[in-house]
Amino acid sequence: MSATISGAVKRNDLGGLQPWLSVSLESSDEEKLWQHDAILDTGFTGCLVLPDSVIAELGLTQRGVITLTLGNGEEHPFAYYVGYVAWCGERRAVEVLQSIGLPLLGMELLEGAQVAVDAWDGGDVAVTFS
Amino acid sequence: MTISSEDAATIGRAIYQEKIRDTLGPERRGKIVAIDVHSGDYEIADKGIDATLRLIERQPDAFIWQERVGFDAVHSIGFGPIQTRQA
Repeated sequence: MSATISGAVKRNDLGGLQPWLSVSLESSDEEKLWQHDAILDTGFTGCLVLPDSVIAELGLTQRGVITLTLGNGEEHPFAYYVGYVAWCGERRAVEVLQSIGLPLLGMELLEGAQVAVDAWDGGDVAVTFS
Repeated sequence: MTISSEDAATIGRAIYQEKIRDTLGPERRGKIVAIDVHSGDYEIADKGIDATLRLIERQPDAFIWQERVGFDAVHSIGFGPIQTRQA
């Protein structure tokens, strides 16, 4: 049985195109599911990067620190949390990195999926697990 | 107990380099080591989330520093992995 997660390409304030997907995140008390949009970032090897405001809203507890190599080659430590997402009909534990920037969804969460992006403003984004 | 990122990095790297790194064979290259910087306890797995969950099960209050065996950082954004230089 296949499952598809749909999203849309949007043009940002700088004129660039970004593919967005909606992710269902569980609150720490497991009582509520929050829908948040994140940019599908195939250059990010992890699962999720979320702004600190969203992490506070979910009530997640910091579990430690993970180092990332950034685009300029520098290493940078990020606080990380354990979150749970509803992903293709399953409840899945993921590492959530804290950032002050935009929310990102990376390749670890996409592993095994077919990803299709219509790269124009308003274009479709489809992540299909078969 | 939460400690600063800088302190976690200092303690975690020291535990990894002094107690763990030399015990790992080449078959562990690329795997994730999750280290509790308070107790020194650790777990190894292909993915950081699996190592983290196993370590938390044993050490519920763990504050974790992660290493990717053979590399300088655990993940990358828009950059290839940098191999650790041999000392």
